[in-house]
Amino acid sequence: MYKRVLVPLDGSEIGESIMPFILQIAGPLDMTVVLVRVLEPPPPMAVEGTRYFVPGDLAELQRDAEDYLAAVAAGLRARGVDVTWETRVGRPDTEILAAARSAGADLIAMSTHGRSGVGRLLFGSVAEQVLRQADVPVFLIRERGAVPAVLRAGAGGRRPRG
Amino acid sequence: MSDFGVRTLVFPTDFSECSYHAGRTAAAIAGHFGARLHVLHVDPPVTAPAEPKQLAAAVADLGAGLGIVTATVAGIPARQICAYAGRVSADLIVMGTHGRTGISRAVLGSVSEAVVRSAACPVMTIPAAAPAWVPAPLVEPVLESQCVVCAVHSPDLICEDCRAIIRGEALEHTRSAERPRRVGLLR
Repeated sequence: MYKRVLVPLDGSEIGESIMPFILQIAGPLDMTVVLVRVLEPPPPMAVEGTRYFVPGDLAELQRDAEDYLAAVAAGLRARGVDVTWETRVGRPDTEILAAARSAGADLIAMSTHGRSGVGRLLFGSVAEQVLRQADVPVFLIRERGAVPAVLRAGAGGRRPRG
Repeated sequence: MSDFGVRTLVFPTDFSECSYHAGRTAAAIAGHFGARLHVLHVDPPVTAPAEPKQLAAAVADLGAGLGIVTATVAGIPARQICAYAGRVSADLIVMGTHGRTGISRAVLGSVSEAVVRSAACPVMTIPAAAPAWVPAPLVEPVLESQCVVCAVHSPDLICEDCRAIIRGEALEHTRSAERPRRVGLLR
């Protein structure tokens, strides 16, 4: 029986499409859910017209991610799911696998953006990288037809801080 | 939020060691959810088709008590697996991964990756190294039970004698609790 399931979230709606699985499979089977959000350090930005660079604000991203994970965790906890969460900084696939190992997860459940063609070549697929390297079973949900938040008109990629 | 249940499960097999491994997990999941298990073999183009008894043997390994459907189709594995899953409106595909990397992956490709990319339903990939999913055994009722109060042998949680004592004590308690109130009302 799977005991601990690692659920990587990227803050997008597509990432959250794994939630029905968690609520209806992981919850009833008494799995402990470990939420993880991997932050990629933002690149330094040049200040226009000067020679100065401003380092990316990782602390801000970290706060956002923590707020986000705490909110998701509270939602799951309210439905009786045993849940913990953590944030990590680095490359998504390596950090997800490292998180799975350090949490002792025996299952990774995540959703995939299901990019193909040019999109896949450009952005790669974190889910595929995880699936290839994981030594535990990987449960993948492909969100079909979902429009990534960054592409939706009038909606920012970031969710408001709550 | 859509409902997620497992009623129909597709397990594609290439009769390899790692798909044998995935099959055990697939059977355990099907058993757990009472789902119908479709065992599918895809004969890839060019190669000689698999013998029917291979599929029968693979099914026999999965254990009894499951609703199992077998099917063999010919074509490009990933495409046929997705098409089959669509036809039977599968809720989940459980498959093994060889975990190929580097050149062999570039040349041979990864069926599971291609399935993940185009399947309409969730896909669960089982690496060859992963332990098989074994459902927790049902807790059997203990036949030889003891009274929890006096530890005397009894089929009930609390034996007859102890129950009487408890009942008596409870009655005594309610009576003593009620008495002063009644007196108060009479006055």
